[in-house]
Amino acid sequence: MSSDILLALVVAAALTFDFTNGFHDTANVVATSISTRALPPRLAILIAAVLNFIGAFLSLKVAATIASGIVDSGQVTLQVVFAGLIGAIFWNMLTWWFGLPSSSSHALIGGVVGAMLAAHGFGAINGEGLLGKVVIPALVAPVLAFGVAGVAILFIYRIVGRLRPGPATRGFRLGQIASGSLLALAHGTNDAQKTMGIITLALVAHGSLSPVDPQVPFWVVVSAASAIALGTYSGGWRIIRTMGSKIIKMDAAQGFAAQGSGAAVILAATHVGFPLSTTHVISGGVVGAGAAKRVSAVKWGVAGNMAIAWVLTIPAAGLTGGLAYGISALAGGGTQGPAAVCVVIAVAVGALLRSRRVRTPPPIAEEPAV
Amino acid sequence: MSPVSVLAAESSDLSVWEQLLEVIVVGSIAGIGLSIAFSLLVRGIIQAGNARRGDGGSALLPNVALAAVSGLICVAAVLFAVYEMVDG
Repeated sequence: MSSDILLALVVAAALTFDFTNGFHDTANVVATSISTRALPPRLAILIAAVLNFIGAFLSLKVAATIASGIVDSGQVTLQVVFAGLIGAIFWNMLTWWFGLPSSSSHALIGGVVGAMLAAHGFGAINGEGLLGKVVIPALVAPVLAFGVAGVAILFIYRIVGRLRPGPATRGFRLGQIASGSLLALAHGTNDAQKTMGIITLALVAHGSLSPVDPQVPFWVVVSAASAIALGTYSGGWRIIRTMGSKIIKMDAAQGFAAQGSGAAVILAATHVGFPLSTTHVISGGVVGAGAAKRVSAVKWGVAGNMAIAWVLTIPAAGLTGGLAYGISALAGGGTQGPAAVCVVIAVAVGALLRSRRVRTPPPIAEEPAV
Repeated sequence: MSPVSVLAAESSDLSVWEQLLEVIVVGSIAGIGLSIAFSLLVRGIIQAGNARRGDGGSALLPNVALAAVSGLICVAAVLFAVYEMVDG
């Protein structure tokens, strides 16, 4: 019975993370298309949501390990996974609140690393894996995308610069729709699989699935696909605004350079076996496409805030993951631990909502007519 | 750290840097190449349309050929991307 409750908590946390992953990363796919009016906002996120859903069914090569090569997989328990998910959800929600695009995958890795540190100490962390799989890609992705999108937009202006702007703009808007659709499909394929992997791992630990070559149950695929699609359809409008219009005011050609070349870089990196964060690539591409036209066109303050959020992702998600694991361990581990973490979160959210209600001034009553 | 593990660490570092270089080269070619191909597609279609209407002094056949070749490159890139997703 108690293991059933633990399984339910981990599955619920995994699907919640999947949902936040969807609405946090909607901006990567739709922000430039909405900004250049290639698509109306609602239609853009509807297409992104549907393609995320379809993408989740394209491939089922689920890795049953989380943060593989970064933490000692043999010591990952369900309590660690749960605490890691809490850290990732917290960071996704916080960066969404401030409208800052940041990597959901890095948040999950950070959460799990923090929980592992709290559970087993530094011995369970592979520093080289963290450097090679997280830190170096995080440094390379935005710089590479910045350079590629910058050079791409210079070529684009050179090739189509003397054409009538109307038809050329329509052409690049179509290109944005195609590249955005590919990104949405790739996002559904990659990110929904993380959730499927976590739930599959939980089912194996629970004894519901055989540890030898476990097959992902169909309900897991459908629920992960639905959570990421619903999250995408909810639309993280704060991040969409930041990426679409707060960094640069972009034209259709810039939007295509950022998104089209970004999609090509992401898929080329995946092909090489060195996956880069979609968020880092597209954000770097947006800044690069703006800076190549005119350096002063970029709002560097916003870009700087994004960079700070990226630097803080692993430590902040890790700290929350570690804290969640600490609370869980204090409550006695097992099933009580994650249940206690849920109670703490419910109390914190309730207090936050209450404080916001108190701070909101009451509406001014109209003077009665004399 | 034993000499063997030092060697292992060095070799894994080397592989990360090699992969990194490959990503930079392949990513740059793919990103810039796709943007150039799509721009040429847009240019070819617009110029071919101008030629058909008889304005702008552009020739029809070279522009149709330009649009066709660059369009094929773009379609191939999309097919490769979908293959990567399914296979990757």
